[in-house]
Amino acid sequence: MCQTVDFTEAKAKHLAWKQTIRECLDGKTQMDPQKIVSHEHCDLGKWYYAEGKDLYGTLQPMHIFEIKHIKLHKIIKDVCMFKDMGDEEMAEELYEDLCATSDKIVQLLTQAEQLINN
Amino acid sequence: MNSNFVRPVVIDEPLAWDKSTTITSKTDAFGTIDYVNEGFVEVSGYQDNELVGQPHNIIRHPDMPKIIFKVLWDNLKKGTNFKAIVKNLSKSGKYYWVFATFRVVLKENGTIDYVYSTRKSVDDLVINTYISPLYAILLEAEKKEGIEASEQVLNDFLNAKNQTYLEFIENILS
Repeated sequence: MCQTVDFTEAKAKHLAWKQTIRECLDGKTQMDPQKIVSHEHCDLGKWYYAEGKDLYGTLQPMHIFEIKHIKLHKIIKDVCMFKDMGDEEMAEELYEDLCATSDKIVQLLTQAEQLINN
Repeated sequence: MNSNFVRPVVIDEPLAWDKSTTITSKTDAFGTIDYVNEGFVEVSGYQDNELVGQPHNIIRHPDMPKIIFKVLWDNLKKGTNFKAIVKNLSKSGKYYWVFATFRVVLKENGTIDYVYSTRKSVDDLVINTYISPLYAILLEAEKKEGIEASEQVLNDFLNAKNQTYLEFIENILS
């Protein structure tokens, strides 16, 4: 059961992040620059590198997750860069890419969770 | 290029892909891939870890004349965003045509920091009527006498229309 809780929290933390980016694009909030640049310092990254990788890193979905998560943070950084540059169109285009990668990450976490629980 | 990379055998068939997909990539000043979007992964057939760190020409189709990429990079180096129609090579060996928009981000010293390209599908009629015949002539000139020859052919073609490549592309897509 503990493992299920891990993944549920991980997905919730990730989805909260996506919402934060949306609010940032809408001008409703500012983001912590440290969290923007690092895939290791966001809540999901902290969870993964503190315990997730040791526990589940050998699972194929988690291996792909790590690659997608690093990419996600690169896109987040660029969304913010274009937003700061005033290029709303490019920021929104990249936000679409961010959402697609985010969906993939949730899918991979779910696959890993199912592998562990079955 | 990664020494483990094996260029696919070209299959002269169009790739079946979801034409509503937007394909995005980010490269550095040397054309090395920093990241690609999920659409790029799905259409090209390569995984992220096969693409990141590789030169973007990993997906260049051999039917593409080099002169088009020279014109592209000449513009990007000047800080000018660009558009091009490009035939790409998927991992399966099949081809897919795209209309690509390139946005350049410059460093403070005016050199290229990153290039973002967004690609969408392009109508077969445009390819068959305008692009394939032009690129075939350019490629033929290039194979016989090098890129200087294909540059001359391209310039003559565009001068006859009194258009730049960018204007030509925008015109046939309008």
